[in-house]
Amino acid sequence: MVEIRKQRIWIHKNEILDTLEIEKEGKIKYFSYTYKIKGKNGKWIPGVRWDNLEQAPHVDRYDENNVLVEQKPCREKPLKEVIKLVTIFRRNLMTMDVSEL
Amino acid sequence: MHTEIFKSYSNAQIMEEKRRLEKKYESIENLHQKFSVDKCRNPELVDDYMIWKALNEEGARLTEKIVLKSLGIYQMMSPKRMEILDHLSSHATKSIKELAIELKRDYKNTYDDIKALVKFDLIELINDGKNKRPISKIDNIIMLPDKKIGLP
Repeated sequence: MVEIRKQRIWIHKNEILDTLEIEKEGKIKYFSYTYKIKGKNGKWIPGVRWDNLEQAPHVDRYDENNVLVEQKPCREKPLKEVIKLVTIFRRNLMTMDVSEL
Repeated sequence: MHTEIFKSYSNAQIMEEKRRLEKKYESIENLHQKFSVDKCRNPELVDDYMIWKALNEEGARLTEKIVLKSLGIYQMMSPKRMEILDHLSSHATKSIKELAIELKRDYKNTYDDIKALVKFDLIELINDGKNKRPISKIDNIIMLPDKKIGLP
């Protein structure tokens, strides 16, 4: 049985955390946790994103033009930890070395 | 306190979601090719691919949750907007105009309320010919203390 869980957590009026977890036989096979900010055109643009694509957990950092500026491997983070990081650091995450957190 | 809004997809809604992905990317192979080239710039392609792949598995279940800090939702919620959510959860309305007629309300006010609900992702507007079909994205709304989901 495959369970797909999508979640949107509103951090602030113009900031959200979009999460996706795909669970199979009780184990999370794929996750992505993306902190997004509202761009000038009203669209959500990614700022920081944790995911484990190809079983390689890493964190991506984007600039305000939606260009990937950094990709670093990091340990797998539970969603609760990501929520905490995002609500504490918010936009500052976009200038931090997130892989060290 | 915060508010959690749930939606659990029925089999028909899962099929509709697959059709939506098909309309957007033509085929899962196309999407795979697209995300292999563009995954750095557009991470949503990766998520769409993973969702589609999982939806193709037998017995796949899809749930959606929206978490709002309670103040945000209560500032925008009103009895009329609650009525819209309630109505859409049990009626397949074809357009905003039809919704206004069904609720015996003025079109402009109904339209404004729909826009506000769309902003909080409580309603989705689907293009249906010339019309925009409003669909509720809600099954349940519950309130929980912040600590339950790790909000400081």
